[in-house]
Amino acid sequence: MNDARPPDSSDEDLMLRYQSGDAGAFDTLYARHRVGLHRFIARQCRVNERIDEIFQDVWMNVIAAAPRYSVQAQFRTWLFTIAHNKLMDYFRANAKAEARLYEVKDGEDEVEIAVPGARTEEPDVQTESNRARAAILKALDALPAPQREAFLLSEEGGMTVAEIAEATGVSHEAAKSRLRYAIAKLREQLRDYQ
Amino acid sequence: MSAPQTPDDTFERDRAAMSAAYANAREPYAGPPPAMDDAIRAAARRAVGAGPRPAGKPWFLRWSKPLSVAAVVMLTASVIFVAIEEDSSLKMNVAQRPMESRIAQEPQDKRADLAPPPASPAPAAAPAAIEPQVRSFVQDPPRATKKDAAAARENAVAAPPLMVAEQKQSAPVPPPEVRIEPARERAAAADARLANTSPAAAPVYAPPAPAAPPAPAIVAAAPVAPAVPVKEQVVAAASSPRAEAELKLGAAAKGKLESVEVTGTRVDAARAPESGFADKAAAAPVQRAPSSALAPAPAAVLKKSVEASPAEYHARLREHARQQRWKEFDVALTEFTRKWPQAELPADLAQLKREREKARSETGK
Repeated sequence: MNDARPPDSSDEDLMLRYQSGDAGAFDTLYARHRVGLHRFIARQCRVNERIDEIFQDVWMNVIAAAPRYSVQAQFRTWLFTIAHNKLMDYFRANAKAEARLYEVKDGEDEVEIAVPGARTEEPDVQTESNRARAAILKALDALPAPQREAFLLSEEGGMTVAEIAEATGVSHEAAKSRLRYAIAKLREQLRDYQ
Repeated sequence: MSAPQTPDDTFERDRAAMSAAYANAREPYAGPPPAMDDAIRAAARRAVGAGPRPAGKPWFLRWSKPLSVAAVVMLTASVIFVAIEEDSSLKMNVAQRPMESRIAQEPQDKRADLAPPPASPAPAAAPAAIEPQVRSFVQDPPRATKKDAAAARENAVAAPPLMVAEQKQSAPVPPPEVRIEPARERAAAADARLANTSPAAAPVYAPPAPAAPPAPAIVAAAPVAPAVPVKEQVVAAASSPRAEAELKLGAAAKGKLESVEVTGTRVDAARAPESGFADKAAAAPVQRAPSSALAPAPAAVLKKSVEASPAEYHARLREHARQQRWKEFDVALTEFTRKWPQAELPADLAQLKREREKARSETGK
């Protein structure tokens, strides 16, 4: 089934194919975005058990909304908009837990626990590159949530400022400002590694 | 010398640098667990395998086509049913109205029938004997105009069985050697034949059954071999109630009977010689008239054979009253009264007659 599909089919085309009953199109679409979306969620959600749950909810929403899907924007923007909304719901429902996590993170040693990307890290075997990776993740984690989200949407979703603004529901200037601040702070944090 | 950097240039440069740093910082990310991948893919396949889900169409939109088809079918069936009903009633009216118009023109018809017709272009080869009317109708198509044919078709709807038998005998037959006598002579001849029991002297048209009396109106002038079709006609006619009426008419003409009642068809024998209407209607298949009397269109013969009886007039009057057609009611009542002056109306029709007279008098005032 996938053989009949051109390898460079756009996300929108794959989604329309899936809408018309091509289950293989969804497989291709899912393979394209599963890692980036999962990482986008993992960088913002600090509870490991919730990451997979939110990730699954996002794709279930995509499946359920497939019959009504129409190409009004890029599929990637739509996908990360759903993820953003899910995360917002999660943040609102777990405000106290998130606050406590922030307090813990501000403590000292618990930071690495809260950052999913660092869970596979082995501090004793870190090389220079590993130390640089840990530093950027630490700096990313230190960003305010809106700025971090803007930066992750830019990097994991490959979005432009306009798409970030659309996905997060803010103005173009606000999105650009968030991204500018995020990059400035990251650069400041990583000065020693450059 | 390099151009001074704008804030946007700085932003784009820093963004590229941080993007590269973040890309280097990405560890080989496993992503979601394989079990979740399978679950999500299975859910996607289930959603597709369930078929296209209804796009939120309300029930009346989904049922609009079947309901439309059902409505069209019901409407068509109703229209066809009503059309069939109206067609049957229309046929009844068509069969009745010409009769009414004929009744209204009855005096003229009587005069026309009794008056000697203009010289008809009888074929020179025709025998001197008189041809039967039915045969004349069959063998002389140029005389039957379109109007007559239409009238014949209309009258065929209400034609008595005897007339159908006549029409079935439409094969051309050689002119029979028969002679038609006037009514009184026919009656005398019938009596003579009844008195004569000798088979040798029996008429050519003797009925096959001994119980049935022979047809009195036809007298064989000579042994006629080729007159078999005519004989069959007469035999068929003799076995019918109208043939009996013919016989009784002959007797009535001789014995001065005033009226004869035969199976619901009353024939006023006293008026028969003058009008020739009911007489001809009853004796149409067997009556013989002079060839000069055959000049009128054969449709007239058919018209006279469907004359209404008092019972039919009663039914017609009731139908007019039921349908509130008071003008037709009055006309039919007048004709009935004129036709049968001594007949009594049933109670309901008498009541309607009084009401109509009262209404007419009030309208006249």
